[in-house]
Amino acid sequence: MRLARYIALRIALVVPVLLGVIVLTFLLVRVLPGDPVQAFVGPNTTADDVEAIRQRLGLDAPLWQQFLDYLGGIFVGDFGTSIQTGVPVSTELAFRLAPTLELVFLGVGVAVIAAIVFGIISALRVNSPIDHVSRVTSLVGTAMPEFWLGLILIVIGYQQLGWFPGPSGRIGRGLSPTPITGAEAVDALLTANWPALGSALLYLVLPVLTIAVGVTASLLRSVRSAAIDIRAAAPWSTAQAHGISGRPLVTGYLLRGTVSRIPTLAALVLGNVLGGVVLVEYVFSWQGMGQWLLRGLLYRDYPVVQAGVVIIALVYAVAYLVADVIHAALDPRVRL
Amino acid sequence: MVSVGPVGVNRRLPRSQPQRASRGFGAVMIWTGAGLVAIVLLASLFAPLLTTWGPVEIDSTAIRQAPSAVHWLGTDANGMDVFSRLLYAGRVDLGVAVVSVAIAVVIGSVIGAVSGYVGGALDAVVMRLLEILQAFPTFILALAVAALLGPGIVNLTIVVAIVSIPSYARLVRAEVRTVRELAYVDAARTSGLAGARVLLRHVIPNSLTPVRIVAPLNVGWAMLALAGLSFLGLGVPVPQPEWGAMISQGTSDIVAGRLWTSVPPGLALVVCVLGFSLLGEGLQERETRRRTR
Amino acid sequence: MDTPSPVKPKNLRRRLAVAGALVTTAALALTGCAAGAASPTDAASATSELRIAVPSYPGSWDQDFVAFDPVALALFKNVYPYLVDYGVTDVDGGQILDTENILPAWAESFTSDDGKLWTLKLRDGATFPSGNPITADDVKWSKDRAFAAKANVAGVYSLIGLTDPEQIQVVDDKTVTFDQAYPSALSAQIQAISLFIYDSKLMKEHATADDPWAQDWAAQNPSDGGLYNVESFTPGQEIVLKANKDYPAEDGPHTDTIRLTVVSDPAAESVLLQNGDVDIALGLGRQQIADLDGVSGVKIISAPSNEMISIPLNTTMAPFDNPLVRQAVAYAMPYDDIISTVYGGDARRPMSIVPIDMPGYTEEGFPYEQDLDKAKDLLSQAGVSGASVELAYAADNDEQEQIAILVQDALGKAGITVTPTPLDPATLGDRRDAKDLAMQITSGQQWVNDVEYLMNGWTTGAYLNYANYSNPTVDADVEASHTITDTDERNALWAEVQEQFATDVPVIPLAQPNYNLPVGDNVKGFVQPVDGLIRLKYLSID
Repeated sequence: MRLARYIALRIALVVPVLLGVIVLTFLLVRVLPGDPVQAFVGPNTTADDVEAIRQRLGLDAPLWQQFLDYLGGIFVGDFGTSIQTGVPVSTELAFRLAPTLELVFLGVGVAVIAAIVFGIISALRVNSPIDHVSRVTSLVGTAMPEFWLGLILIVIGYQQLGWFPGPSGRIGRGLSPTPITGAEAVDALLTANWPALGSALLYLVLPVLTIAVGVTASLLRSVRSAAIDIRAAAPWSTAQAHGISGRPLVTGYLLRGTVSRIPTLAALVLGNVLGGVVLVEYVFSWQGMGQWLLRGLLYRDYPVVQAGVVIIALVYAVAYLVADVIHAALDPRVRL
Repeated sequence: MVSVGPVGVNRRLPRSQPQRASRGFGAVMIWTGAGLVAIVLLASLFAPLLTTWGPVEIDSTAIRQAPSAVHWLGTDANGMDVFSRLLYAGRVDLGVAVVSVAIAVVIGSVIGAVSGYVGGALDAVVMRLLEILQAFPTFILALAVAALLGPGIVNLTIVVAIVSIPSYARLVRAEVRTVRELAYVDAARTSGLAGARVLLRHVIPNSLTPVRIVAPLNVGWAMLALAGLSFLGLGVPVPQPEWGAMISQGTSDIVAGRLWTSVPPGLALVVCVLGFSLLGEGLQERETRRRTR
Repeated sequence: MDTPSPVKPKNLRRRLAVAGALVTTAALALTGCAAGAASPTDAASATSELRIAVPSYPGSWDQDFVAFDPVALALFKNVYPYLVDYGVTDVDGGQILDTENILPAWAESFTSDDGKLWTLKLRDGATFPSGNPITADDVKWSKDRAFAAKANVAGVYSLIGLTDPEQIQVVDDKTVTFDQAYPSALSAQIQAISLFIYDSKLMKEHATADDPWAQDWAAQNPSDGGLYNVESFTPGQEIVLKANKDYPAEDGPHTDTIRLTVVSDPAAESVLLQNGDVDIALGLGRQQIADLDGVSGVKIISAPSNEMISIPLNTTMAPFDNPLVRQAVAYAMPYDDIISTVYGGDARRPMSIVPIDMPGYTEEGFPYEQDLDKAKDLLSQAGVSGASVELAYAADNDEQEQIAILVQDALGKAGITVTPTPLDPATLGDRRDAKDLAMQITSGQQWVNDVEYLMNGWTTGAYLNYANYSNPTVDADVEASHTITDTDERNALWAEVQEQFATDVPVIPLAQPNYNLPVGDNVKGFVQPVDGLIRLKYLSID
């Protein structure tokens, strides 16, 4: 019951934030210099034509009315129509969101696994060469700009070695699985289409690696220090004194103890990755939210930017919510 | 909602038991980090003495030439000397990153301290605002602010500072909430000191420890953010040398096998960011030990 | 006019380090590969697949209500049914689209006796992919839609005196007339780029009371039935085209299947071409193209183009409100450096506002060569010293960035401080609209190879007159040209206009770069499009 109340409270806290994001985005894109109508201006366009276009797009209405229309639309799932393409934003979102989430979740997932493995190894051998090497290596990974790393990986993995497919598309030709979510690897898995899954995973390797390399360090740091804490605490020595050793000791105490710290931190990292994923998407021609949002921003495609930012904020908020709930479920003190 | 910073740093400092013999490596990290940063700093400060070409000087007889005795690291597409640009770029990158983090620390700390100290409705409102800002995709926010302010080094510094402010504010706020309950603050308050003075004299100084550790890590992040903005075309205006811009100008060169235009600035960036990261990591380790002593 | 590039953030670098050798090899390549295109190939016999990398996915499938998007516009040329189209002509061993020679495509004929009233006859038996026959009603509905959209087509139609849907009338099931307000020399060319049609029966099925022109449907569903039909498309990623077997005119598609794949990063795009995973890389920068020269399995097609790179100077903003200052700047420009550094020599220098090769081009009265002493002289005559200006350019355009650097360097030597200022596309558009940019770099691709079309943008108050230039002689000459169809008379007008521009210098023409296209060495049959929009039908693969 308490947990349910906690969840309700957390959801209630998300609502004002999302509303704030909606208002702020709406205002921010309109404060920017630049005019979305300019995208339609061609040779021989007259000032009258520009006004006509503005009217057609509904950009001549007073700001409050535009906002109310927008807000009203959101509640029925209508994010408006893209100024640039004339396609409903929700349609574009449908095939942009899943590929980005697939990339981001996998990237963070790989980083989490790497962090747990190397963090625990490090903690078991504090100040050994392997501890130092894993820490410094992860820091070097964080220090590399991801667009540069991505390109280097393409040159090595695709151009030189030819192990991975080139940076275009997300799956081999003719292998596309029946679309369900829009994320190829997930769809292939759901439809048990193994050749498609294999191909989609190959396409994912380099971008996922690029993301994982960039974020492993902060996760590693946390896992390592958590594991060191556990090793220094009383239960560990007690367990050791009782003759528990080897695998049971590591999996039973260290792993379980450190893993409870992971959800919150992973959500935090996920938020950061989501905010910067555009660079990775761009280098790997991954047609996801990031590139869509970037294009929308550059051309002042108001509905696209509004919807994109709100959806990312929502994903971010939900990730935290889930992380906090898991944390609360594992640690009853949080619920108080 | 848990706070999040652009760095993705775990803000909750581990308060662990003493780590066996970790002083040695912590110190190594601090000194190595400081050393790397110092090298970059000195190289960029003394750039005029170390280079034979100006950073924006065009040698139209040498466009995209491989390293030679005349141009030690070759030239770029405009016939500008890569070595000279590499060194001068350090001024811009270090300058923007350090100044923007400094701005973010000052403004963020003040917001966080006041909000945390005063508490109540103000705190609730400030917290919600910060959460809204943080829920924004970082890069989109940075790009939007960059588009709003227009190009230029000063504006870029502001952009990077703005996206970093919320994390410092939340960090300091959390610390202030703890510190203000401590005995000596209470003592100061009961002895009649005004709120502002208590805040300035006792609360803020005692709440800045985590900031000191996160700041170096954030300088590294700021450099990467600056490079990313350059990559997307909204960075430092040409022909001003900047590592991120140099890397992105050279990406097509990498594919064509001309490594000298973008590998050196890439390495410079990695070395510099790594320096700050090591510094931060080492400081954190030292802090952990100090607290648990 | 100005052609914005598709969204392509920064790292696309168009630097050029090619020796003059490129021009020679490229010209040879062109000669070698163009030979194949001369002989019309039977479309049905072509079976292979051509893979093309494009920098962005077309924004919309709707040609009337589309934002300015070069990738989409190029695609439309190949999938929309065009009733008339350009022919092909041989120039210097290569092939280019022939703007003087407009041939019927889906139409049977398009003729006029007086240049004012034009009659369009449709073919019997021609159908859309839906099976609906192509009728006069489709033409009428499509052009009514264009007028309603008030976009591209309505804009260019106004140049030839077509401003009201009533001027377009259905005569019978297969005949439509276009009654222009006056005879125009531009009619045929304008119609070649504007006379595309929709399957109106199909569109009406998707129209609603709120959306009478079926915009929602047309934005998301291809209006094909032209040279190619859209076989499948994955939004954001890939489009597969199939040759339209029903294409009725001569010289139909040479390749059966064309696969367009989106590759956003140009560096990645050129890697794909090098590895043979695509046959053609569209939208690459100068630098990537130059780097591909000499790579085995890749060849660079290079052909003269009418794309013009220039710098308009705002004639109503200090210091450029003084003609002497504008002349000084014209003397200070590093013309040769730009052509050699930015374009690796693969560009020509136009000595006029009019592009080289455009009928009516003359260098008469255009004195400007780089001469810093003369520039300084003129500046001191004008009483200007220590001027400081911003030079705006598109933030996503590396070629312009490089030009900005060279211009900054050269004008600095003449005593004018230039600050290169990259602007994102929306801001640039806005500032241009407000006409508050003192100095900017523009690149313009003329869709109609005619001076009238070009000069229309330079009349007083014209929307794209970035220099805010106003000159009564120019205005009068352009006005007069609307109704003059005689070539000599027109050329006399244009000579006067060009001389006026040379004196007033509202804009400095810098370079006319050649059109470059990197392709796999088994690709043949390239025909240079005058409008920069590639025509896929001529291409085939060994």
